[in-house]
Amino acid sequence: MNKFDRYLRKRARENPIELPQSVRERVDRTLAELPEPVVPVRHIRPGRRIAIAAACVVFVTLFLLPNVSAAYAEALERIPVLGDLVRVVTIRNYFYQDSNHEMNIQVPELNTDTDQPAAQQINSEVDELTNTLVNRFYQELELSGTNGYGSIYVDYACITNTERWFTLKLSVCETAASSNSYFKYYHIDKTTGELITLGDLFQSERFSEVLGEEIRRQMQQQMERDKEAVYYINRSDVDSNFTSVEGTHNFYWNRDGELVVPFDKYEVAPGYMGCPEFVIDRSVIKDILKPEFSNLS
Amino acid sequence: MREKEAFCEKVQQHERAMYALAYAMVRNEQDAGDVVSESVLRAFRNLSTLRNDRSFKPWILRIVHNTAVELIRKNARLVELDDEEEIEADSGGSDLATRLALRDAVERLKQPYRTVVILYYYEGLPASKIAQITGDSVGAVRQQLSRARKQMRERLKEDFLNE
Repeated sequence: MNKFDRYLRKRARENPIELPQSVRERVDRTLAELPEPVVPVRHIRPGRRIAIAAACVVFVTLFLLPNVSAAYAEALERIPVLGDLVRVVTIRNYFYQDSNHEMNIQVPELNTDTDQPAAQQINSEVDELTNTLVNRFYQELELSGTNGYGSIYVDYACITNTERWFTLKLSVCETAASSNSYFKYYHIDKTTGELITLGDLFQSERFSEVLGEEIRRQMQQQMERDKEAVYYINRSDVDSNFTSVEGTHNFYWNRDGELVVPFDKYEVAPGYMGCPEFVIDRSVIKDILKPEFSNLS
Repeated sequence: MREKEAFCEKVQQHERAMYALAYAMVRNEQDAGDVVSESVLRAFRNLSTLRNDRSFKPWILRIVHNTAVELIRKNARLVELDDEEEIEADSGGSDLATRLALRDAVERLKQPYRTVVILYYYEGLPASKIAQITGDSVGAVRQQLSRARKQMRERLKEDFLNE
């Protein structure tokens, strides 16, 4: 049998099972559609360690620093809502699972020390969105019964929570016949306590055209470098090519303080391109960015 | 982010093995693609259950195995060869043995022999790892391999003797 065993191994090496291109592409699409790993949000739970840490923060920021640093004390006065800690907690978790369907929806809520209309507005919008998704899931479950497949996952991440800025990212991943991923970013400028949209960052309406031009340039550059990259610009075979961004378009600041403009899946490219993001160099927007947002790193 | 990138890289390393196993079980390209795709999603969601990176391959192949089993049950479709195909394979004579390559002989194996042959000969996994994937005992896997070899030896005897 050993000889036959060696023969089988040799034959298997000579005649490997090939992965069909269609399956390879499908795996690539699935990988591109995987939800981003969630940056763990520090959920506030009662406990001695947290109480001690909070007491230390309060002591250092409100008592120690203002008394040892005149500059800090002056800066503190200029920042009206400093100390207004924004906490993100999961207030509800909708979960359902059977052999064909799965739903896992984490609903975040922003808690602030004082009344913050921006935080309340975000809570309200998140609540409305997640309720819509839950209702739709159950409606589809009722319609398809055991014949259909479907899943939905909603998660959130606190992208930024500094003294100056707060950003919450809500991620939605729906899977039925195909899968779709989309995101919603919410921003609060902590110096004013206001909810900020992309359009609010700029002094003029030109931002839409400037960002659009820069993003199209990056798309073109990527397509020239990578023959498999496809974006919907200057194409006659798509309903609408990408030209510019709206004032309510998603954005966030990366760790280097650069503006990042993300797109949902299918928004500006075929599904296998995933959810593209474009980092906008500071030099591109320096003339139109409002001075207060020029350095948020 | 790094965790996702590492996961994608590993999946791409093993996607051929995942497909081979899925295809061995569901026996058509479309369903095998469904199984692989679904397995990738499940694996990513359960990444925290992978305790050792070096066990990635058997870990994800077990997910593929379980997903394929679910699909077969859902479709209520036994992917055994029908009698007509079996008779054709057995009655093919010496021409068949020379015409058929190993792949064809494997295709004609019934389950679980097809799965263990794919994992053992094509993927080079030892019986202990195969046992982890299929949920059988190591002894059962060795017995399945032994029986599979006997069946294939019969079908490939001419090609083997001419080797």
